[in-house]
This record gives sequence, C-alpha cells and structure tokens, in this order.
Amino acid sequence: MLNPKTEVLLRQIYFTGIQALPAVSASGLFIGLIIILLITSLAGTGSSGAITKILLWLSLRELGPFFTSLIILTRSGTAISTELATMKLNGELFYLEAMGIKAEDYLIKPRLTGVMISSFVLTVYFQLFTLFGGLYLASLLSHIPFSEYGEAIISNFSFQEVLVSFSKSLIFGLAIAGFSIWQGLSVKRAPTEIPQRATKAVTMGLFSLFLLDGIINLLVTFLKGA
Amino acid sequence: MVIEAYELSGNFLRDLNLQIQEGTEAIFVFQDRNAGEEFLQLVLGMKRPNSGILKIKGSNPAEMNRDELMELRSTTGVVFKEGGLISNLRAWENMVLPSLYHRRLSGHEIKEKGLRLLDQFGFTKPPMSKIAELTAFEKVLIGLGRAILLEPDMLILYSALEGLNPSEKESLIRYARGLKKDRTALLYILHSHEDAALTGSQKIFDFLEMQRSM
Repeated sequence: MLNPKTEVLLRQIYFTGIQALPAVSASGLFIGLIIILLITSLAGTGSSGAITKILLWLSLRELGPFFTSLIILTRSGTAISTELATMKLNGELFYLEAMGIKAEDYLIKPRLTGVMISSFVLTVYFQLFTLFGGLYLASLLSHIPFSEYGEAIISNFSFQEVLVSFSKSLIFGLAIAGFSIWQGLSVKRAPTEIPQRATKAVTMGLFSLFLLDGIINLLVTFLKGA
Repeated sequence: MVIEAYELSGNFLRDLNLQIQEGTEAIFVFQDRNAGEEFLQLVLGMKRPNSGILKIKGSNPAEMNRDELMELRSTTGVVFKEGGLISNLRAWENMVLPSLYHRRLSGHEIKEKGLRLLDQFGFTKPPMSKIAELTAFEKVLIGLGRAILLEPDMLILYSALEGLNPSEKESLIRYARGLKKDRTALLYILHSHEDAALTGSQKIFDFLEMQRSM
C-alpha cells in the first residue's frame, strides 16, 4: 500500500495530467492547424523554413506553456480550491491535525508537485501535437514532403527555447496550484464562500499567468541582449 | 500517567485536576460543548492552557515543537462523531490513512489488521465504499478502526456516541473496550449523562461535579 502523500500526488497527476490529455492534445492539434493556415495565407506555402521557425517559436515559447496552463487552471484550479474549501468547512483539516497529519505534507505539497509535473508533461504534449499536427497540414497544403519540415525543425531547434518553455510550464503550474490552494484554504464559515473562492482562484491564477509570462519574456529578452 | 492536569484552565475549563493512568477508563461529561472541544484540543496539544499544568505521557504539550506534537497525536486515537472521516477518501482509505502516514506497521500488516477489524465489526459493505454510502454507525466504526490501527496509548471517543441508537452505542463501547491494547487508556468525552451511564464506568468526571469535588 502506498504512502497517503504519494497517493494524493498520483491522484493529482491523474486528474490534472492524464484526464486533461484529450483536451490538451485536441487543442494542440487545432492550434497547430490554425497557425499553419494563418502563416501560409500570409507567407505562402513554399517556405518550409519560415513556417517551421514561426510554428516552433510560437508553440515552444508562448502557446505551449500558456495554453496548457489555461486548460489546467479551468479544470484543476477550480477543483482544487473547491475540494480544499469543502474539506475545511467540514472540519476535516482539524481531523487531520488530530491524527498527527500535517496539512502541508498531506494536502499542499502533493497538489503543488502534482500540478507542476502535470503542467510540464501536458506542455510537452501540447507542443508535440501543435508542431506535428501543424506541419502535417502544411505538408499537405504545400506538397512539400514532411521530412523537409523535419529537417527544418532540427535546424531551427533551440535548446534555450526549450529551457524557457519548461521553466514557464513549471512556474505556471506552481502559480495555478498555489493560488488555488490558498483560495481553497481561505474559506471561513459559509458554504456560499466556496464558489466565490473558486472564482477568485481562477481570476488570480489567470492574472498571474499573464504577469509571469510577461516577466519571463522580459527576463529572457534582457538576458539575450546582455 | 497518560494525563496529569493540575489547576488547568482554558477559555471554558476552570481549575481542572485529574490523573488518568494507562489502561484505565475515564468519562468526561461536558454540558458545554465548547468545554469538551477545549479539553480535546488541550490533550492533543492543539491549544495552550491559559494557566495550570498539563502533562501527556509525562511531557508538557505546550513545550513541544510541531513535530513532537504530531508524534504525540500519532499515538492518540480519536473517534469523532460520525467518525470524522475525510470526504474525498473511501471507507478503507480513511481507515488506513493515519497508520500508513505514520508507518507504525508495514503495509501488509495494516491491510491484514484492517480487514480483520472490518470483519470483527461485521462491516458488510465493500471496504472501498464511498463515505456517503455509509450509515452514521458505519462511519463511526471506520473511525474506530482508524484509531485502533494506530495502536494508540490513548483512545478518545469524542462525541462519538451521538446520533447512534442505544444498541449501536453499546456495540461501539464494546468494540472500543475489546479492541484496544491493555495499556491503552480509554477516554469518553460526552455531553449527556445518559451516554455516560451507558458506559457503566465508575470513573466519571462530571464537569460541574468536578468543580465542586476537586
């Protein structure tokens, strides 16, 4: 039998990560298709290098971490805050303390870790679907073999962009989980506070995503210029 | 001594003096629910007394750090009204939660002992039943099983008899007495004299009586 903390972590990964896979994969695929349609309508279908470069940059640097975080925020952010708020109002935090179980160990850390791991993995999934779905459509539209796009991916691939993308996914995951937990545990007395806290968790999470995205992009631009 | 209190006072309790030995039973009848809750919180080190001395197994909870308090609570089994179960866990998960968390026994031992307890309780529903599917008595039994699996030095039935019919109350008292270790002190925190009488125990601390006699 697993340690309860590991059990909570695995459940969080299942609910936030595995259950969101269809939504993330479909969104990634459609966004890849939309980006390709936009690029080809602007720049034509002939330039595999430019198409790949724009798609790679968009999916790695911006859309991957951000869009995945939006999906996580709307699905799991509300779920986490609602669940914790209900537990608190039911006096279950008191029961845990009375059993010698630290709330931060059992409720907070596994959720933070689970959402961060899920955010990271879902971002990679999203990016793969965006890239390969988009490039597959591009190869159909332009009659340029898919392998040529593959070569363009390799030549335009930047480890630095991957690092930024992974950092963003982890930081966004931390922010979503952090705000959701904080709001969930901030309920005082009334059950009517539960939906209010869930709404606040989403609003604060969304605001933090924009803010963090801006800060990270500024930081990367500054570091590149230095 | 499991509990020693001298002139112990809180917000609701006044000048409490008592000694509870290992393996004994004691009934605390608090007509004021706040006083009962305060007593539980003091015993678990969740609250500091306003004045007086409280020692749990020879140590003062007010002087313990958080890890020491958690360790103390891990050797104290509390059965709450309707079990005090965690709503997002199934019956079995609730039962094994603290024992798995504190790792007193191996996973295999916990499973074996837990299943044996359910059998002894005559628990007929699937162990992975949802909490909402359980009756009040079944919830309390899961809470009792959870406490027993910790192999506690002190077993506290905190308002656990409330909401049960007389035969369920008698069964719960019988299970608690029969399943605890010999050295485990059994404490009832109750709010009615009828429930206190049901236990058949001689050592009853009536909160109002205690004010006069101690």
